[in-house]
Amino acid sequence: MKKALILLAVFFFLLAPLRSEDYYNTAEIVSIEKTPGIIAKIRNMGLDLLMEWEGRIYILAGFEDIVKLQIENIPYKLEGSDLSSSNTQDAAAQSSINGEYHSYYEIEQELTAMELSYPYLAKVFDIGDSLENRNIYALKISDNVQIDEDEAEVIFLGCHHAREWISVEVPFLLGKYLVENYETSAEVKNLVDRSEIWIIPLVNPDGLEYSIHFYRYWRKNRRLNEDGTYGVDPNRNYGYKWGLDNNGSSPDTSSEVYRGPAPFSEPETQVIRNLFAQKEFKALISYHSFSKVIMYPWGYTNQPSEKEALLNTMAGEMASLIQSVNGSIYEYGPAGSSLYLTNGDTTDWAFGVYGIPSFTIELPPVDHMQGGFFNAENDIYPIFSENLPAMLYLIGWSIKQKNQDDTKLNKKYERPESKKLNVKY
Amino acid sequence: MKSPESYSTFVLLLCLIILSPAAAWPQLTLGQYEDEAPVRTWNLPLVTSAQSLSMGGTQFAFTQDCSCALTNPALLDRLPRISFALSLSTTRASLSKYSIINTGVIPTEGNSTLGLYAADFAGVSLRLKGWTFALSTALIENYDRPHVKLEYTYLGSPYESLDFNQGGELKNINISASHKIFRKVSLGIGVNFVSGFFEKNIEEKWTQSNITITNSMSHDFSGFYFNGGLLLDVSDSFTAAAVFRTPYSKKADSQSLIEYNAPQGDTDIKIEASSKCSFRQPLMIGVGINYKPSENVRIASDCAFFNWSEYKVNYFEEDLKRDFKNILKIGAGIEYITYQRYFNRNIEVPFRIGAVYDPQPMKNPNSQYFYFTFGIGAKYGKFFLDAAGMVGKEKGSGDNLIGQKFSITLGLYL
Repeated sequence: MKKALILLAVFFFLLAPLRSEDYYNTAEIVSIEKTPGIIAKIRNMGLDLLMEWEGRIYILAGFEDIVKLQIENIPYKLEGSDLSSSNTQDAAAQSSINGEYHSYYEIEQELTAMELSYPYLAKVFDIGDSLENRNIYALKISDNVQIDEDEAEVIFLGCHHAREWISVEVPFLLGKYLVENYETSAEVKNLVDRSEIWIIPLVNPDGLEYSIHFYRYWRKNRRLNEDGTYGVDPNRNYGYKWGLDNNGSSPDTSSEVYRGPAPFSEPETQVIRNLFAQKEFKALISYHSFSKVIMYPWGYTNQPSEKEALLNTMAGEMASLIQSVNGSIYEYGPAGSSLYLTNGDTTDWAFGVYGIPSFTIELPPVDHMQGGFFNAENDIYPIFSENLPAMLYLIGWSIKQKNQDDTKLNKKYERPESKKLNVKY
Repeated sequence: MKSPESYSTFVLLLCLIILSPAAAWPQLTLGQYEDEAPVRTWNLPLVTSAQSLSMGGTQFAFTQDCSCALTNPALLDRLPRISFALSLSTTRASLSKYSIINTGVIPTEGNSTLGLYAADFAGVSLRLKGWTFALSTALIENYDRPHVKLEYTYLGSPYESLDFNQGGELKNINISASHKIFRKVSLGIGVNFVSGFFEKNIEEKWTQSNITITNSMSHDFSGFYFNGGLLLDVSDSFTAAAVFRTPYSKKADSQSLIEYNAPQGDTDIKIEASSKCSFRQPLMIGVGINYKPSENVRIASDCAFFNWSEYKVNYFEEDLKRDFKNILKIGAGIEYITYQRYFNRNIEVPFRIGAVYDPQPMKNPNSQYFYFTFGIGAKYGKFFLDAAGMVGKEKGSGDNLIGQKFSITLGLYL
């Protein structure tokens, strides 16, 4: 009997799981005093900076990192193995499966926080729902943001395609940049005061979530097609020249460029259409990746549009501004003859229906060998930064265009009034 | 247990358990879209003894082995002074949509099938001075999915491959105690320590450009919960039971990696994450009856409520939505006992059948399993051996999933 019980004990011991790996047990948060040059020094040491607070720099340090601090004779203080509540946002960023990129949830949180922090500059609109009932958010930035003023309206779109994570970040960071620099930058204040800037960083939230949680290379939305395949390409679902041919889009439901059963069949494109119906946008940029190209209509044909000269000049100006930042070269030209034919895409629709300059900017990298639809997390801000002058240029251009349009309109009103007066007198 | 033969038998059984592969079967049905969905049904723990399995999964008001510690420890009081039990099982289940399979990336023609083999329960109970104690271990959840590997060729040359692998399991160690608090009332309580793992890996290779995309996820699970039950002898032939399992957090130390590797471009982009995740498991309460209208016949029925509407997932700092509803699982079975004589020995041979209604918690699709169960046993002296089968189909999702389980339980009384 005793032997049997001993055997049982051995048996249970063998079956018991022996798992003890714990990231948080192997990493500590340490703080060091902030002194001149210390940040550059610890970055060179490859340490993982968490934040600065009250004159100290906090670092997530493993055993080897602590050894490095000791070797460099840098005094440090152990702060514990968890972050304090004062830095929960940083902690979240360290533990997100999409890293520094934003998920739907994170965009929702960030936009809400932005609206709360800058209620006089930023307002978030829920402009519709995706197929899986996620909200599609539009961020409006302007002075007197609560009021619909008679100002130039310009729109920036991101993430039509789920796997193009960088295309969420660039328009989102534009919004953040504008509100954070409104008080300190005369240029930003001037632009924000004279325009209404609309930013929809996440047109395809369902696709992005699937890309984050299941398959990184997912492109389309999450439509369950009648034949059991999934997805419609939102950037082939707009109503201008939709389904013109099978080169610029595909009727095949399993294709990456499946255009859907009808123009605007998808809620994600419907919300953009509805927003355009309520606004008078002067210009548009839709961000994509990859290849470092600025494209403009037409996409459905390789023939030039009637505004080829204007669009080419604007694209050239934006490419030049990008290059001026860090030497990064973006090619530019009409989409159909520069890259490949597309029909039913955003820019053809915005240009074809509303006549506004519309651009698709394919963000870095330039090819698959450099990462394709992947960008390193530390490339997010440089990519945004190199694109920032081009975005500001487009806002400025929209303001000028609005002024010109208003002037023309006023002249139209003035003439009959003058005639009237002439007759009278 | 005093003869050398008995020791040898017991040691042999232990070796079988230890050497058996930890098993799991797949059965995602509804909710199989979520990675954390256990195979076949969300409504766990699974039936772990063949006797219960064959009687429609009933296990609240009657048992003949210590697997009752997982569901109603009050029943331990009804076992002989010392009992051992070991269950082995094999399961087959069909799957339709899970992870990247049939959700847009890899389509399959029809459902996939997963087969698992497991030593899914081992336990011992011992009565001392009016108290009965039990120590047991069980495989309570499994997260395996059929492995999928695709290779695309172009003009006879490979140019892309996609490899999907997912596996995992959750084990439980249960320590229970039972006591007869009144002449006709027994009370039992158990504490359960769970541990396990989950691993998912998706690797895509573009052969000609030598580009590899890796997406991997792992969790190390831990947690604990209490379960308990009350048993009431209404009459000599009728017993009623009430049971509960507390809600608990299945916590996980989780790691994630997304990597893009293109050596020709000297590109290696990684996004690594590490987090504490949690999967809030629901409260389960249930009632059961056991009625014995004659010496040869036994009827049992269980009804279990799962509070799935409170199921919560915190996944890498995000609260994920799981649109679940509360469900009621019902099982019933009948046992007919015969007495056979083999090799000049009397052997008790019970025949059992039953049925199970097992609705799944997802609101969409609204899906339920219907199972038919059957089994046979043999009890001779201090040994018993039960074999059981469960076959069923799912309705509601449109995928016509099937589930099968066959189980053997070996037991010993001392």
